[in-house]
Amino acid sequence: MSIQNDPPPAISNSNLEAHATSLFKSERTEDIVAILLAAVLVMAVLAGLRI
Amino acid sequence: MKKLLAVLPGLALLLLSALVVQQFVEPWIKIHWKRGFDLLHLNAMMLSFLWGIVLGNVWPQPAWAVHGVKSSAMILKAGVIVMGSLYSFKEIGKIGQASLAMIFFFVLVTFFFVLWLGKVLRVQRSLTGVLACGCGICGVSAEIAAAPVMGVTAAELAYCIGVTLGFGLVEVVTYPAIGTLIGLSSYQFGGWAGTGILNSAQVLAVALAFEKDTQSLSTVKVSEIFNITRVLFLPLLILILAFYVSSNKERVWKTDSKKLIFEKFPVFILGFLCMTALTSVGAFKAGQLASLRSVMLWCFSVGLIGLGMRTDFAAIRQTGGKPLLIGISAGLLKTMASLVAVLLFLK
Repeated sequence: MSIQNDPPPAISNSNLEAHATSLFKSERTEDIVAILLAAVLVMAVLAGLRI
Repeated sequence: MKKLLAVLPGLALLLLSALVVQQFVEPWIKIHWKRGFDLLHLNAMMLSFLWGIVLGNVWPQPAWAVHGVKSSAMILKAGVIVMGSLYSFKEIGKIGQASLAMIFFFVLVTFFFVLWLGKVLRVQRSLTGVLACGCGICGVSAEIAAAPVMGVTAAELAYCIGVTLGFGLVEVVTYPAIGTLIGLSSYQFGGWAGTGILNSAQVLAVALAFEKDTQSLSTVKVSEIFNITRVLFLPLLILILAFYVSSNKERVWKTDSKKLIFEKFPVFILGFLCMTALTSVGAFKAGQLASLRSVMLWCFSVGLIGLGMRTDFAAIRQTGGKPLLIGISAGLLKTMASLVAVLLFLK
């Protein structure tokens, strides 16, 4: 099997890399924070929040 | 705590933008450009996404807003979790049966098509593997999950994300108009979006834009079941990739398979199912369910503005060459074949 390296074009600024950086340590952390936020929102609705 | 405080200014910007879009921009377009509103589906959700693109690309993003904008993916997930309250298990089972067969087929066909095309075009294996995962499953999240397994650099990962988001942007604008022109039902359009669109958040944007029934949200509900079904394939494809890159396949099977499946399982889906269970046991009254739907729509509006702001044209313009060709080929194949499948099998 012949696989040659064909790297992406040279990246001249950090914009592209900024896409790959997340606010959270991992996807798992992001999922857990999302669950916690959803739980807070549901509790607020159960406590009487009306939108 | 420091991180939470850093998120707040950007989050306030997103909330304020969502408020302006919902209260002023959407009503204005409804009155002054009815044709555009109907054909291009310029409702509050689509406008949120487009406004986010304008905000992110016309003005330089202020440093104080960066963290808040980055939290938008998490907010979209929170919205999807709350959305679980709108389903019953019976409904999930019914849509899930149709979605499982279609998603199983399209995930695997797209995944192996990208690996094959990468080999034919002689693109490096790591880049092809990440692209295969992104195009096959759910775009950005799948690419991030595959990156450490394939050993790509941050720049290469960002490049793959640029390819997926760039093609997804075209899909966001064209899907609702095509769906309207060929007269797809909510069920068919939801199935098409959930199967054909590469990136999860863009599935949501498109389904919310096409949505005709703002009470039952039928298009969004179908599209999310299709999307969640394909996200569930993530651990399996990561495992296949681990075999693909490893020279010691026995070791992967013996030591890494369970760990990989556990690590890559998308746990937010458990939150979604918990919400469905709560609704099924009657935990919410009718008024509370209506409020939960509003909460969910706010999460989506805020999240879509953030997603738009993170769609950086300058970054996407840097993508090119063979990997872009692979992404476009896979995206077009998936879009056209899934449209045919939807027309044939989803009535």
